[in-house]
Amino acid sequence: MDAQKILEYIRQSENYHEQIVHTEELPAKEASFAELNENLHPHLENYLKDKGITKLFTHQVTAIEKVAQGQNVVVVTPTASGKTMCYNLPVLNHILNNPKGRALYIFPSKSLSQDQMAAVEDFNTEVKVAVYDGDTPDDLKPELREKTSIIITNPDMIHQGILPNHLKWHNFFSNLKYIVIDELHSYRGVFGTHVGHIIRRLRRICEHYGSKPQFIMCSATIANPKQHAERLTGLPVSLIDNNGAPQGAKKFVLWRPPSKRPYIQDVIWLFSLLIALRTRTITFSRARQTTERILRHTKKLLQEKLPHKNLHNKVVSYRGGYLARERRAIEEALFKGTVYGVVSTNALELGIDVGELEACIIAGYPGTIASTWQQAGRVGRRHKDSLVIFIAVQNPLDQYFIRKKEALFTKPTEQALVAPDNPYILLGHVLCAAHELPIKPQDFSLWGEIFPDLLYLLEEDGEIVQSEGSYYYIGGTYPASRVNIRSSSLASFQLKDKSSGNRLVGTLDGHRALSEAHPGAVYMHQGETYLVKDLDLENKHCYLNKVDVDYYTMVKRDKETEIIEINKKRPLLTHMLYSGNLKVTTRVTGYIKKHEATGQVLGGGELDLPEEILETQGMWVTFDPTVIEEAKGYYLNLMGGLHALEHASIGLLPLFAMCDRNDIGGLSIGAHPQTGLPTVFIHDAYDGGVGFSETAYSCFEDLLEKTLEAIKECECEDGCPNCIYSPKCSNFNRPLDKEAAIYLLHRLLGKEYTPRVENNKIIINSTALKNSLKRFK
Amino acid sequence: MTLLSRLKDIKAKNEEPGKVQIPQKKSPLDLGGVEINNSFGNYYLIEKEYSLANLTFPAVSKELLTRNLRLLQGIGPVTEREMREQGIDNINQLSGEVRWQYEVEIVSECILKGKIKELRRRGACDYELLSFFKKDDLVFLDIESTGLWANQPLFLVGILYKDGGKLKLQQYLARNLQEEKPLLADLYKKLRNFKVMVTYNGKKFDAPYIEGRWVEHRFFYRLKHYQIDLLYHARRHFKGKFPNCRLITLEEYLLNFKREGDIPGYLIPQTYYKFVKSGDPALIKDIIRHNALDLVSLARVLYIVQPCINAKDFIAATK
Repeated sequence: MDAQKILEYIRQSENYHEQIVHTEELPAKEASFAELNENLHPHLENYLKDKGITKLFTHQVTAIEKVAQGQNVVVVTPTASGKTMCYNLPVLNHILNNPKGRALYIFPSKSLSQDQMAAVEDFNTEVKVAVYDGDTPDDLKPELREKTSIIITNPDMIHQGILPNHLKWHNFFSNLKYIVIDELHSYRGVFGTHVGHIIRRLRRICEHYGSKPQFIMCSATIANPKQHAERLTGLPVSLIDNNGAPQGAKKFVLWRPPSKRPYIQDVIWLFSLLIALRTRTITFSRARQTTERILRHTKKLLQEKLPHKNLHNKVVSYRGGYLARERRAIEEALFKGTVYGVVSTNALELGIDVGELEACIIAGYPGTIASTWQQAGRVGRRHKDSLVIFIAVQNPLDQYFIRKKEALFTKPTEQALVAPDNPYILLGHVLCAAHELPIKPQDFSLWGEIFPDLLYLLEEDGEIVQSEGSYYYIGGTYPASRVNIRSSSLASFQLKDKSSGNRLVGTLDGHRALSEAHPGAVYMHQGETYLVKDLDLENKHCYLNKVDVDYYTMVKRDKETEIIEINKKRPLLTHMLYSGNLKVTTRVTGYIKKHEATGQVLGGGELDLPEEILETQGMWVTFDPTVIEEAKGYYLNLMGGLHALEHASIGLLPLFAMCDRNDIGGLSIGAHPQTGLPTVFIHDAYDGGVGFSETAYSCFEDLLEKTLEAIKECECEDGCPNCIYSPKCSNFNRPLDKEAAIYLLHRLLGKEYTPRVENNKIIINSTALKNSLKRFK
Repeated sequence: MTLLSRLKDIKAKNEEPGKVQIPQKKSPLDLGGVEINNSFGNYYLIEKEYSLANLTFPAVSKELLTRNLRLLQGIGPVTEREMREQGIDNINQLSGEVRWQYEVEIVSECILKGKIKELRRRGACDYELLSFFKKDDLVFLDIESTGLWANQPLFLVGILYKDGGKLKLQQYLARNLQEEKPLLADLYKKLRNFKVMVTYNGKKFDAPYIEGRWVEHRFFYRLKHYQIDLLYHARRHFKGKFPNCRLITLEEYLLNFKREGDIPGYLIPQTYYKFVKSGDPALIKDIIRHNALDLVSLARVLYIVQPCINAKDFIAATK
C-alpha cells in the first residue's frame, strides 16, 4: 500500500484528531555514478560484477580516490548509501595487493563489530578478518595478532587490551595502513574525548613502529563532521559528502498526540494499523521498557480486532544485547514477510541492514537530529515510497520540532563536541601513554598545551619519573584499568541487590550516586524498581531492595556556583555574557516522594550527605540591573523568570551541542554574590567540562531565539513540561514564571516587550505572584 | 587541592624567571665492575664468584623417564595404578604388548634422541627432564626492571652459572636507560651458551619481559631455553605450609637465613631513577645486592624440583 493511501486511511479513522501537524514530501533522488581512475584488484572487480554493481556512486569514487592520494577522509552521507564500500574497497584493495598490510576497524559496540566482519567476509577474499574484543578467547589471540589482516574492535579494547600490550602487536602496528572509524558522530562528549586521546595514543605507538596509518571515517549528518574528525584524530581530514546513492520518495509526518492522552496510545494504534495494512514497519522507542509495552499492547490490539488474521504473531521486539544470529533471524523474517513489524530501541538505528521496510514510527525524539535521520533512513532504501511518522512526546525538544516544522529538514545545527584539553579526562591518558612507551618531548605536540603541565603534576605525585628528558611510568598498577572511558573522572558506585544476595545490578556514575541513590530513593534500573537501603560512600557501594511502589523520589539540593576564572566575555546589548571556569558545590539535603499517577507529594525526608564539588566550564549571563525594577512594574516574578529561562534554554541546548539534559546543569539567582546582578548560569555536568556550555556561549543569541519561541508558542498557561519544566530540577520546578521569562528574553534579544494587557489592566500571569497576592487579600 | 588549582600553580611556577636547574656532577661510578662497549653503546658489568657448593643440582638418571608409565598416551592415573599393581613399573615391560608397542617406541625414541618438548608435552616433569642436562647447561636468571610490564625498561640482569670449579655471578647493569640496548644485545649472546634457564616466576615475568624488551629494541630474539620456574615447585611443596611462597620465605625456612636491610621490590623502580638522576652508588648497591642474593638462593634451592623432598630437609623447613 502506498504512503498516500495509508495517510488517507489514518485521517479517516475515528482515532484521528488532527494529530498530523505537517507532512514533508521528500522527493525521490536518482543515483549519480562516477568512474574510478584506476582499476581495483581483479578480485574486487569480479565481486562487484557478481553483485550487479557496474558503477560506483560518486561519493564512493571520491572516497577511494582521496584515500589513494593518502588523505584522511570523513564520509558523511545518509543511511543506506553504501558507506561501508567507502572503506572496505580501499582497504581490501590495498591488502590484496600488499598481503602484509594491516587495517584496524573501530566500532562503538560489539554487535556492530560482528556485522562488519560478516560484511568483509562477504567479499570472499583471502584477506583474514577477525573481531578482537573482550569476548575473544585468550588462546586464539596470539594467532589473530600475527595473522589477521583486518582487526575489528572497539575503543575499550584498544584502550585496555591492545595499546598496553603493543609489544605483542609489533607486527600488526608495523604494517598498519588504515584505521577505519565508523559512526564517528557517536564519539562525542566525555566518551568522545576519551576516544580522541586513545586515537592519539594509537598514533604514537604506530609512529614508534614506523607506520603512519591513514584514517577513513564515516559519520551521520552533523553540523561539523570535518572539524569533529580533525579534533578526534588531531590530523587534517578531507570531507566527502557528494552522496550519489538513489533514494525513494519519502513522506515525513510530524505527529502531535492529543494533549490529554499518553502518546504511547497513538503509537500502538498507528503501529497496529500499519501492520493490519500489511506494511512492514519499524517502531523506535527511547527506552527498553517502552519497547516492551508497545509490543505487548500492539499484540493485544491486533488480537482483539483481527483475531483470525494471526497478525499478533507477526510483530516482534528488538533491543540491545541480542546476538548477531538472533538479529539476523529477525532481519530475515522481515525480509521474507513472516514478520511485519518490529519495535526497537535505538539499537537497530546503527548500521544494520533490515532490508525492505516501508514505514517507520519514531516514538519520541531520539535525542539528536542525526539519530532521527538514522532511524528514518531504515525505511525506503530502494526506489520505493516510504512513510516516516515522528511522534512528539511531552518535552521541549519534541515540541520544538512540531512547532518549527522545517527544523528537521534543513541544514543540521547540532555539533558533536569533544574537549581534548579537559585535564580531568586527559590525566588518565597521560599515565596510560607513559605506561605504554616513555613520553618524549616530541610527543607533546600530539596533545595540547596542558600536557607538559600534567606530566609535571604526575611527577609530583610520584606516578611518573623524568629521566634524561623522557617520562617513565613507575606505578605498580595497570593504568588503563583506572581509566573508565565510558564515564567521567569519578569512580563509579556498585549497585547491589540485597534482596538477591547482594547481586551486582549495575554501576552508577560517582556524581549521580548522591542524587539518585541516596537512602530512601526509588531507583529504576532496567525496568525494575528498587528502594535504596544504604549508600556506602567509602567503599562506593549502594545497597538496594527490589520493591513494588507506586511513587518516585526527587531530591532537594543546595547549590552554589562560584566563578573561578573568566576566560571570555562579551556584551549582549546592555547585559554581559561570560564563559569561564566554575566551581559548583552541591549538597543533597532531602527528598520527597511523589505519587506516580497523580504527582501528589506523599512525604519525604531529610538527608545528611557530604557536599560534592564539580570543577567545570560554564557560561553565564548577567542582566542589566534595570530589569529588576521593570519586572516589578509589570508584576512579574523576576526569580521565576530567571529560573524558567534557565530551564528552557538548557532544554534546547541539545539542538546546538549533541548532549542531553543530564550533561548540563544550571543555576539562576536574583543577585549572585560575585556579580551582584541577576545571573543565569549554564554549566557542563562533568569535571573539566566538555564544551557544551562553551557552545552555548558562542551561539547564545540563537539559543535565546529558539527559547523565546518555545516558551511563547507553547499553549500552556503557566508553564508545562513542554516548555519551562525540568524533570531534574532540584527546586521541584519552583518558582517558575513563564511570562517573566518571556519578558527577560525580550530584553536579552533587544525586542520590544508588550505586557499582556486586557481591558487596560496588566494581566498577572505568574502563579507564584498570584499566590502571594492571594495571601495579601 | 583541586586539579585546576594545582595546574594553575604549576603554570605560575613554570613562568617564574631565572630558575635554572644546575645538573649535579656525577662522579665516575665504582661498583667493582667494568664498562663494556659494543656496537650499540656501553653498559656496566659486575662479576663475582661463589662456591660451587651452593648449586644443589640433583643427579638424575634417564632411567627415571622409562619408569614414568604415564608418558604413554592412553595411560592415566587409573591405568597406571592397575599396571603397577600387576608389577609393571617400566615402559619397556610393555614393548611386547600390541596395545602399547607403538607408544613405547615413540617414547623410547624421544628419550634416546632427547626430544624434550615432546616428553614435556606428554607430562614429563622438570626433575625427570633434568637428566638430559649437566651442571654446565644451567643458567640462573633474575631481572630488575622499572615496572611490571615489559613496556617499561629493565636495567639489571643477573645471571649465575658454573664456571669451572666455581659459580660465577654476572650482573649486566644499565647505568642509564640508554645503556639498556647494548646490555640486551650482549645478554643474548651470553644466554646462547646455556640450555636451561632457572628462575623464580620467570615463566610469567622475567622471560617474557626480556623478550618484550628485545622487541622494543628491534632485536626480536627469542629465548629457546628449557625453562625451570622454581616458583611452581615451591608452590607444589610449600603452599599452605609456609606463610607464602616468596623466595625470601624459602630462604628463611629452607636455608635458615634471614636477609637484613633488603630493598623491597616495589621501591626498586623509583630507587633506580633516583640513582640515574644523582649517580649515588649507594642507591644501586642495594639493588645489586638484592639481585645477587636472589640468584644464589635460587641455586641453593634448586633441589626442590624433586617430586618429593626428603624428611631431613623438611625438618629444617618447619623448624
